[in-house]
Amino acid sequence: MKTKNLIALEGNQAIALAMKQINPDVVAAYPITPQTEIVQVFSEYVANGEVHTEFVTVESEHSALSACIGASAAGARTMTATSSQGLALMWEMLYIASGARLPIVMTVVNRALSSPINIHCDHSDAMGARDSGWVQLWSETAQEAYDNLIQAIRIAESVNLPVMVNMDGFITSHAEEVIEPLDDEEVKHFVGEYRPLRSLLDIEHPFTVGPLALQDSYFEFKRSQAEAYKRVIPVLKRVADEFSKITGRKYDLFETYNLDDAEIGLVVLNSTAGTAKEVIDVLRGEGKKVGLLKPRLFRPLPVEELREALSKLKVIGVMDRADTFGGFGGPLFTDIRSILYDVPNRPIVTDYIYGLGGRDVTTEQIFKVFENLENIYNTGKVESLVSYVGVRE
Amino acid sequence: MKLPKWKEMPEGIVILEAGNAQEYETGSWRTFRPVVDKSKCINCLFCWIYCPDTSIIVKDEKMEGIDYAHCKGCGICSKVCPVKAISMVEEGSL
Amino acid sequence: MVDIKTYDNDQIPAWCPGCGNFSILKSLKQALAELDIPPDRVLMVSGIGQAAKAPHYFRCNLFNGLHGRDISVAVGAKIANHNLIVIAESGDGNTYGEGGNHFIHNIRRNVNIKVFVHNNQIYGLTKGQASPTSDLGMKTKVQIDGVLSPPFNPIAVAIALNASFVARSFSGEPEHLVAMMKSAITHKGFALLDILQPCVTFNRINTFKWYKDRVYKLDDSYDPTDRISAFEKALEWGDRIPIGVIYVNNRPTYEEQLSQLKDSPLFKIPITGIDYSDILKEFR
Repeated sequence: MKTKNLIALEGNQAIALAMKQINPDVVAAYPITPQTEIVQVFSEYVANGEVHTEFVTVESEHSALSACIGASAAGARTMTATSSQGLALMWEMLYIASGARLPIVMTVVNRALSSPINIHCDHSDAMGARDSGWVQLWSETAQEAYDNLIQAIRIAESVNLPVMVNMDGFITSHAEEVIEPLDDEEVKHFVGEYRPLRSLLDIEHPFTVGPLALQDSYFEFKRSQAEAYKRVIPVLKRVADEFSKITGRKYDLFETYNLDDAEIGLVVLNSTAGTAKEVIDVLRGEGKKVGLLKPRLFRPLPVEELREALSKLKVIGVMDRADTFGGFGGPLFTDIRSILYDVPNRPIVTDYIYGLGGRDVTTEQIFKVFENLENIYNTGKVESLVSYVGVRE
Repeated sequence: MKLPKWKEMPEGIVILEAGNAQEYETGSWRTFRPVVDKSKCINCLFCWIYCPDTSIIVKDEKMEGIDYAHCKGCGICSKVCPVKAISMVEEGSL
Repeated sequence: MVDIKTYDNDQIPAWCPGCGNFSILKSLKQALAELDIPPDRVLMVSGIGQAAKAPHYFRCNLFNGLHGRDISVAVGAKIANHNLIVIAESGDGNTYGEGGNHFIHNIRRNVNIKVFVHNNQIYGLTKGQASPTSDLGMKTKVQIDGVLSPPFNPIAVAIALNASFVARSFSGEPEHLVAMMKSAITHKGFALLDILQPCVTFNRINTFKWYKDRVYKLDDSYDPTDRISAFEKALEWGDRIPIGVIYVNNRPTYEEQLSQLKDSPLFKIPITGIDYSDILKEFR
């Protein structure tokens, strides 16, 4: 066993380091808080000649993803990063990237959407893009974000779909954390040489990207695209296995914590899962059968596997760091609840919308959520399917 | 043109062969049909030059008629014809 | 009687000490006071950036929207209520970069709005990357080998598009700045005021001294109605930088060309008494 190479890095710096080790052909980006630092640190690698990347600074995120789409269609391994309004401005291009099946990899440092303007963490940016055809990986820590980004390259290029790796703005992006990076050579070997499906620069085989497809063929294109997402799950598992052989770090579609014998479960994305684990430790100490499921892959949704993992629970609380205004609870809630519809003796599923605009999520709030879930467990009565946690009433 | 089933679609929204517009028949888009009066035609081939598709059939430097499988009925040929040999007639009125 | 204090509120500006923005803030309050314009007649619109915070420090109507989109919002507001004095105030990155398209096409449109741009030749809010107006070769944290693209010239672009009013001032010349703001506000038509504004934290090249050593005021001998000489002035940059009204014309505004707006602002026109049965027939 080799000695561990441990270094202290902020989440953004860890992502920039992963990008350096991946050494993509093209990066096009535009600054936006709290993502700015990723591209800034990466630009130093470019200037120092530590990567061979063509680095393009553009005038907006719309242009950033447009440039990435052009580069990817030309056969280049392409990456970018953004946050919040930046992702929102990329919206129409997100669909072009996924429809054209371009394996672009983007870090999204999750931040609330305007209005009102806010620069802090919630998941409304990525959740707004959840139906755009991008594979979504979520990360609790800087280490996970770093590991996810490296694996994302392999996943994207195996299924020809774009992947976004999410991590919490400021909470993960700006907090210094001890991480264990791979060696440059290990990453180089792991991601391998990119062999595009086809390239616009291949003049022997000319082809057209993004032609008009009307009533007679649009539907077939979209149906064929829908099928591609089925390939993501086996690919992700294979890539995670390979990754764990090098690092010893195990990844799957989701992580469970004390879930096997649990009767009350919590489902939550990203950094809040860490806080929830603390709470679960305390409650387990009191003999309470509580556990956690933290999705890693949210798009495509691993329906069968999530159903299998959650169906034995009696009560499930979903914590959503995004709202669906005018809808029925947060986006994670509606998916989880829908997955469990066909399960005999299906668990009761309730939603807790929390932490919007970077509102601190405390262990007290999560204790309260569990208290509420325990009440439901004991009485079978649900006062409110969707509630808001940590807001001034 | 036989349209492919979804499982036969190429990965990505792409067209892999060049020059396949010929296989794609756009004649059904037409609301007005160009009708040629060959007795007036002087074979100047202005219609052939201006047609934004390739819907004017020419043989031995002579205007032979219109390829209705592709003609979208834009009416440019009728507009540029110096002897008014092409008239635009509403589809279905014939 | 409107006083400079009329426009004060209790917000404390979140700008670095010594920032060029402070003088722009004070000058605009001064200009509005000298023109005796009450706050309820003023709408300030801004995008995103350090400069775009400026309207937060005014006691008047305010709309703070998205990066680069302030001009579009300002145009919408002006058309709905052309009695308002609408000022879009943001920075060079916002207005000339992300909002470049809106900048170009609203100059053509000539809506009577005022566009005040704090031009510090750098992205301040995101902490020091090159902006569209950064000089060629400027080194930043991202453009480590220097900026590769020549700068966007807002004055030249505006004149090329036959903008109705084009001026430049400098935040280190507050009296001049107040005069320019007053001219822009009283001008009838789209008015661009590009304001050179040192960023004391992130732009160590274009400092107060750098601008002070270079700017000179256009005097009475200069004729701003002559488009060709205005274009020549627009190209002057480097050792000497002209400030003042560089180009002006009196072409009709967008609002003037809309018959609907002749009698009263759009929002006051009731939607009644219109017979649209003919139009509906087509759909029956």
